[in-house]
Amino acid sequence: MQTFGKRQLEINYLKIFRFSALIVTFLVSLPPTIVISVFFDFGWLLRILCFLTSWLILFGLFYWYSKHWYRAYHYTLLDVGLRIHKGVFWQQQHTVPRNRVQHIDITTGPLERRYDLSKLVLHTAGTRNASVTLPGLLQADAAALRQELINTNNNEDTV
Amino acid sequence: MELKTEGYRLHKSSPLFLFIEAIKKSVVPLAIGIIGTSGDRQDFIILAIATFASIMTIIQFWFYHYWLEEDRLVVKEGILFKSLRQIPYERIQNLNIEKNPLHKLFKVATLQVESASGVKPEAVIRVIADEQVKFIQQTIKDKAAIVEAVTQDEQSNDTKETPVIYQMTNKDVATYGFISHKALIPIGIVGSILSQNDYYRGKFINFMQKFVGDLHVELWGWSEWLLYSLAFGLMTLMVIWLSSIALAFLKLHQFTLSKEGKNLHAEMGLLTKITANIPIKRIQLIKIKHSPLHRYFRKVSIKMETAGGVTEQSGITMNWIAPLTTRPTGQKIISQIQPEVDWQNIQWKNLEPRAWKRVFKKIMLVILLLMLPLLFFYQWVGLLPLLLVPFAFLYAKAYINNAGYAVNKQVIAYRRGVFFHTISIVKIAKIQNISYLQTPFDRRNQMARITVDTAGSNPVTQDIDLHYLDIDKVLEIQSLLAKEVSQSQFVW
Repeated sequence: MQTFGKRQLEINYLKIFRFSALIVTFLVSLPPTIVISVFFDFGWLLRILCFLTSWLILFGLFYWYSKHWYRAYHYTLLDVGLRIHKGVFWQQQHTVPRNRVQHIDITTGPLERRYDLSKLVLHTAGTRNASVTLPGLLQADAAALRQELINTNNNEDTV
Repeated sequence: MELKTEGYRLHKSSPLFLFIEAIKKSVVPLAIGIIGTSGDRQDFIILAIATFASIMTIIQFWFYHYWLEEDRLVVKEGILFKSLRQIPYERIQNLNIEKNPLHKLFKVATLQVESASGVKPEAVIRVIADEQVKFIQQTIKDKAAIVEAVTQDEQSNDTKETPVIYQMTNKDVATYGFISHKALIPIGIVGSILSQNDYYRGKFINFMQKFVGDLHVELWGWSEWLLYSLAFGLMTLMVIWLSSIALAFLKLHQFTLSKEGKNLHAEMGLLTKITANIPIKRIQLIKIKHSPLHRYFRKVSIKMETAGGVTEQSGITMNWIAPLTTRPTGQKIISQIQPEVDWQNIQWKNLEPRAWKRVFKKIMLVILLLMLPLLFFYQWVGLLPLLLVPFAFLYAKAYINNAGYAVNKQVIAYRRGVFFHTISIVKIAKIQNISYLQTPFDRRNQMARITVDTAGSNPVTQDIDLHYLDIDKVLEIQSLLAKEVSQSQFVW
C-alpha cells in the first residue's frame, strides 16, 4: 500500500485558476461600470479607465486570494484513504476511505490539457459528499493515484 | 442478454389500477388547480388532454413483462421508449407491497422493488395476483439467501425467537396521531386551495357574516369574547386532533414489526395495507425523536434510513421502526435489530461548555437584525425584542447542555435539540466519507466540526454533525473514524 505526505497541487493549476479569474472579474466589473456611466455623464475615455480600474482592483484581490487558496490546498494519501484539505476562511478536509470508493473519474478541460493537467473525481455511495474532486494533478500522477486507489480497494462488494 | 425462464405478465385487472394511478398523478392535481382558479375553458382542455394521456397509460399493460431469473429480477417495459431493467436479488433493498380495498376486491397487490440507487424505485409492478406476490417474495428471499450464504462473512445469527419485536396497540396509534398533528398540513392545503376560489370564498364569508351577525358581537362584554374565542380555539384543536388521529389510524393501524432471519418485516394500514421487507444490514441510520408532547406521554418515536432514496412522492415508503414506544422498549427493539452492537457501551460526552456563548451570539445577531427596522419605524418601542435576551441566554445554555455525542468502535451517535430532541446513530461500517470543517469563528474559538456521510442520508437534515468541539478532540475522532471505516467492510 502506497502512501505519501502532504502534496501541493501543480503550480500550473494556479495559472489556470488565475486565468479563469481574469475572465470572471472582467465580466463582473462590467455591470458597475455601466451603472456608473448611466448616472454620471463623463467621456468615453474616462469610462474605459473606470472599467479598467475596477477590473484591476477586483483581479488584484483575486490574485492575492488565489495565492492563499493555492497554499491551503493540499492532499495526503494515508493508509486509511485520501485526505483533501482546502479553503482559506472556511476550511474543509474530506477523508475518503480507500474501501469506500465506488468509482473514479479523470476529467481534463481545454486549459488543463495545455498544461498536461487532470482532475480526479472520487465517487462514493454517500449523498451529501457523494463525489470529491481533486484538481490540478499531472495527468500521469492522476492516473497513478487512481490505479493505487483501485488496487488497494479491498471492498468485496462490487456494486 | 438471454432469459432462461418464462416471463410473467401483469394481472388482468391491471389496466384499472394503472388508470387510477395515472388519474391520481395528473388529473387530480389539475382538477385541484381548476377549483383553485375558478376554471376557464382552457383549463378544461388541459384536463381533457390529461385524461386522454391517463387512458393511454393503460396500454402499458400489454408491454410490461418481468422474469424471475436465477440470480436477478428482469423487468421490461415501455411502448416507444423501451427499458429492460436487471436487478440482482442481493441488490434489492426493500420490497414493499401495497393493498387497498380495491386491491383486496380483485385479490391483487402492488409490488415495489427498491435498490440503493436513486430516488425512483427500481420497479413498480402494478398489479399482480396475491399468490404471485407471495411467489416473488419467496423467490427473492431464497435466492438472496443463497447468494448471501456463499459470500457473506457475517455470522448468521438467525435467532428463532418470537419474530414479532414490536406491535402497536390502538391506544398507541391514537396517541401517535394526537402527538403528530399530521392533519395540520392537509387541512391547511385544502383550506388555502378553497380560499383561492371566488365562489367558495364568497360563500364562506357570507356564512361567517351571518353567523357572527346573529351573535351580535357589538353587544359583547370581555367575558363573552373570552368564552367564544376559547370555544373557537378548542373547536379548532379538536378538529385537528381528531383528524390527525384518524389519519394515524389509516396509516399505522396494527403496525407490526417482526424479524425474520436477516430481514425486518413490517405491516400496517387500515384500508390501504402496506407490507414492507427490509434487510437489516441495509439500515444506514437509526433516529430516535421526541417532542415535548412525546415527553408528556413518556414515549419516543424511532425511525430508520435505508440506502434507497425513494420519497413519498415517488413510491411507497416505510421508514418506521417504532412510531411510538417507551424509551426502554425502544432500546430493547434496537438491540434486537442490531444485536452485534454493544449498546451498553455508549458513553455520551458533552460539547464544550464555553460554546454556549457562540449559540447566544448567533441568536443575539438574529434579534438585533430584527430590531433594526423596528427601531427605525417605532423608535423606543423597537427595543422591546431585547426582552428576549434572557430567553436567548437560557436557550443557548440548554442547547449546549442537551447536545452530545458518542463515538466508539462500532457506532457514532449524536443528540441535539432543546424542545424537539433527536438522537441519530450510525454504524461506523456505514460511513462513506468523513469531513472536517472549520469556519473563521471556529478558528477563533479553537473549535471545529465533523460530519459523516452515509448512503441514502437526508442532505437537508444533517444528522451526524458534531459541532462546537475542540480541535484536538475533532482530530482524534476523525482519525479514529477513518481507521475503523477503512477496516470495516461496507455492505449496502
